[in-house]
Amino acid sequence: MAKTDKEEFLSLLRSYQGIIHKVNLIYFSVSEDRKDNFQEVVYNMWKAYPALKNKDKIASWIYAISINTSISKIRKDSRYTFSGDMESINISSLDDDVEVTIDFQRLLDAIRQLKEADKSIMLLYLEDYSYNEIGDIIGISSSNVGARINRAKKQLEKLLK
Amino acid sequence: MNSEKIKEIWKENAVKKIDNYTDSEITSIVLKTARKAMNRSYPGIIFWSLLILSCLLGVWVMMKYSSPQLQTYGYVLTAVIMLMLGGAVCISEWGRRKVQRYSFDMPLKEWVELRIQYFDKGIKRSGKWFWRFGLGITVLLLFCLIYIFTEGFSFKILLVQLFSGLTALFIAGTIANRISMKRMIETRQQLQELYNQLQDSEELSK
Repeated sequence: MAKTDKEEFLSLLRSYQGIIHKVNLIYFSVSEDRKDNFQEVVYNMWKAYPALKNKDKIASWIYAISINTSISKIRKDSRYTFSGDMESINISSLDDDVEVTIDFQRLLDAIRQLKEADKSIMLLYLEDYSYNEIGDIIGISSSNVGARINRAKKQLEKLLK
Repeated sequence: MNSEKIKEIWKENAVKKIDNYTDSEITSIVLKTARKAMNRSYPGIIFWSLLILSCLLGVWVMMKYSSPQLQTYGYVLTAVIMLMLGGAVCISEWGRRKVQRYSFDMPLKEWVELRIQYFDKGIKRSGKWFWRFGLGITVLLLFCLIYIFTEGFSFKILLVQLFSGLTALFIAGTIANRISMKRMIETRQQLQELYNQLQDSEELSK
């Protein structure tokens, strides 16, 4: 990577690091795992950066890499299991680093109980991405995104009653 | 709690919850990443290099201490080994480049689909272990026979050495193959589960 590209990459990471943190937040409850995954995402971004053509959609690009890397890490790590059926929320699994409100912790726990694909879709929905943009990042049609969001919203509402 | 309230809680707290890295921490992470990218070696290349070197050394030793008649066979053997290894290196390198193409910046569904295809091929290849081992043994025995007939070497001694070596190789290879196949099947199942989740949403919208 050329020096100017490196500088550009650094400034991009400084501006958009929040995306990686948010994806980490919904996939990992342990702070150490989030730190590890952050580095892995940066590594995958570094590899993919020279081939990045559409710099207007940088946020979507980072979301795609962060989601794929997180799912890949969960798959490799035997401590995690792929989410399937919904269970009741276990509020005792409080995150270990920053103090958060009980409502937010309950919301995080509920999102973490959604299926793997739904977690990402819900995150993008909460971040105000349009159905089309979510569809592009996940690789499914916008109507499917809509159906999936409606179902996930109902599941979350039920879990957070 | 309705969906508007959910969005509100998320927006109010998500930014607070995030502990952003400072500029110097980001620089240090990128430096570490760059170093990691440079240092990451490919076990396949090391394996193939060692294999080629060992084969060449074996042929060289054989030719150095053998009769002129056998040296002719030695040249043929070298050519065949180099041809086979060359082909294997090309296939291995092509496979590695193909895996690298499965870049992490693809849409999730496409990425999962390609990974499934990749694991399917790996599982299929692992299933052919006995055939590949059999082929290797046949080639090896052919050259041993040439060696025995041209040099008048004791068939018994060679057979004992060859048999014990091949048995050890077969056991180790089979165990390694089983472990890798089991892992690939497990990973493939997880990916299929994820793919089904995305497929499920296709059906939901219909």
